[in-house]
Amino acid sequence: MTDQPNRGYIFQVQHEQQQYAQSLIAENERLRTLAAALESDKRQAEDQARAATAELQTLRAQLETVAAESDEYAGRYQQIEMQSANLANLYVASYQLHTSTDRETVLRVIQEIVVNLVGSEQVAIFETTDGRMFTMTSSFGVDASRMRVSRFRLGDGPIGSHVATGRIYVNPNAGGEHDHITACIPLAIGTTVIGAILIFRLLDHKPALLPVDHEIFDLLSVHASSALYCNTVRATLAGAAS
Amino acid sequence: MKRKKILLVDDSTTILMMEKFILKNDPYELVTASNGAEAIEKAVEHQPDLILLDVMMPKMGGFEACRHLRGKSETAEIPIIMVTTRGEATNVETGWESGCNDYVTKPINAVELLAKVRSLLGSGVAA
Repeated sequence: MTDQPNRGYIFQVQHEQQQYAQSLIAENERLRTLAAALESDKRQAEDQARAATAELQTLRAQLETVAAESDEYAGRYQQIEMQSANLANLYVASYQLHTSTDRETVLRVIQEIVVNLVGSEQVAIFETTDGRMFTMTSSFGVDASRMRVSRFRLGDGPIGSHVATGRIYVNPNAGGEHDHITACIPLAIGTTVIGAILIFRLLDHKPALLPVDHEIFDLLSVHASSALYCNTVRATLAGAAS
Repeated sequence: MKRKKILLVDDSTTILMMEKFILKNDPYELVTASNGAEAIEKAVEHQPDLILLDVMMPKMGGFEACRHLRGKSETAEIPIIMVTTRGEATNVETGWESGCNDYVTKPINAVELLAKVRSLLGSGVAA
């Protein structure tokens, strides 16, 4: 009879243990499900982080590309501005020469072009009437009395030889001292040389000739000669008529 | 919108034409004068936002004109860029002493001139 209450107690404990075990199993299952969900969330978050990092790297690369392109365009824009100014130089030089209506103005314009567009304050212009002897008819910044060559014969001496070729001579060491020629530009009408422009020392802040200077020399060689020739002929005709 | 005005002063028509070419793509109104005395008259009359002033000119040179402009209440505050063939320190120093804000040397470098003008004038359109 004494076993009866113990057995009841034992059953109760066993029942409670079973209930507790089941609740533990259920809790364990819930936690396992939660852990799986969290693991899934974690993987998803990691994927998102990886995607965001990749996107960030792509954006950074794009930004670098855009910045490089922007620099390139800024450089190109500056180049275009420079080219535009160079073209303007040539246009202005040509316009000034061809709108001059007398010899003196043409000579002054040639000097202005050399001084203001090339950058030399020493220029001398030589002309010939017989096609052989060239005489200095205009100069700027050159002390004519101290100048070694105020006239020369075509083909004689270094200057006469340069002019005789009909081609522009440019000193490769331009920027030298007085009396050293920076450039010798024959003025020709067709194949006949009617004069020459001698450019001496460049300005101190201009250490060397630029590509556009060579184009200005080409332009002077053709357009200054025709402007000078036309105005000389006009002056001669006007003189004859009067 | 009122465009900003620049007074170009040079006795050389070649340089005036060159400066006009360089500046014409920006929205500036350009006025010209051929010597220092004319520059002072036009500065008073037109009240430009900037003056490009050549140094070597007949009648009145750039340095003297600059001093006169600084001495007049109507023109004292106008920014002035001196345009000089000589870039030596003494010449530049004379320019600063006469009251200029900046200077450029001839032959004019278009990019340099535009940068200096834009720096002093900004967008080119007055508020």
